[in-house]
Amino acid sequence: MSCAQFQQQISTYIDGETDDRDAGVLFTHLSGCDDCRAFLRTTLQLHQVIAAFPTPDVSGALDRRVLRIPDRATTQRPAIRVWLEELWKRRIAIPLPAAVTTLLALVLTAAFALSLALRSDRTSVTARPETVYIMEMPAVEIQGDPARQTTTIH
Amino acid sequence: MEPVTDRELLDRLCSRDSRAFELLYQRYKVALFRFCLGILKDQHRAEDAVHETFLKLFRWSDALQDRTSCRAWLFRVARNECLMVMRRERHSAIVDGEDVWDEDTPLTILVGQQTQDSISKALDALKVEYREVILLRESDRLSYAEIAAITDSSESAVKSRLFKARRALASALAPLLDERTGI
Repeated sequence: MSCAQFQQQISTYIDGETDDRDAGVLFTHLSGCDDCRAFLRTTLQLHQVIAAFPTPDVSGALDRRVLRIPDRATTQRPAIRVWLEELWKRRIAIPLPAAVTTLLALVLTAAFALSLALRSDRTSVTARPETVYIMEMPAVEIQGDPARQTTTIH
Repeated sequence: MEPVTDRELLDRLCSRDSRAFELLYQRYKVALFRFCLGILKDQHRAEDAVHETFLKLFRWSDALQDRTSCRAWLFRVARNECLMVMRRERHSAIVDGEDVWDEDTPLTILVGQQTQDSISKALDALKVEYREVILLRESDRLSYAEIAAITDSSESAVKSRLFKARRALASALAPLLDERTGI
């Protein structure tokens, strides 16, 4: 393996993503390679310095902007939608007899509407054209003239 | 007692619990802000990106399928926000070829500055796809798998980018770091 490949392994090793076998091969190489040892040293220093970077301050303005998101999302809903959602979720209390009467009225109304619909279906059936049979034929008189070989129908 | 896991907070957020939203914000605001600041290099734009990230979390929490990876999801959204801002401002977000630096090589930046400032500036000079993996790994300790999910790439690509970024930083900053440790 070349030094470039070992240095890639060093990068992986620093991240803790190298298995023991590869690490063993890497350390054997490091024991005899100044360049790769220098790369390991510098990369570890970089790792430490970046880890010690001060935490950036998140401004109070950003906190306020973000934490207003839920409120704004609620207030920005269209009024009609909010009203419908609230209406759907609203609980109402009615006496049992009133509920039963309402239910019964609904069932009777539905049954009446159904029967009306069926009746109108029956009357709206179109009549088939009827076949007319003529039982009596009109009287026909046939006159023949054998001499002229003609026939006349009256 | 407050719920501990992100999953519980997300469940509560689905029923529009603003306290759960606030707890998630407090939990991730610093990490996301640091990440966005590292990518965008501007406080106001980073704040906008964090704001948009949490706005999306509030709107789309119902649609978040895998609730065990809330952190990765937040970083992914924040990253997309940052890239969108950069694209809008005509910054190059895509790297072609092997070049790692986005600005001048930081050797010129190092002279006469403090180590941390110099490293910070060297990081800022990295192209965004190298900078983001360094930030996610070094600052937030995310796993290769999480970084791959956030950056929409494979774990081997993450490993390779981390190495290239470290190699570039190491070669640019070695004189300064050696001097600092007296080696």
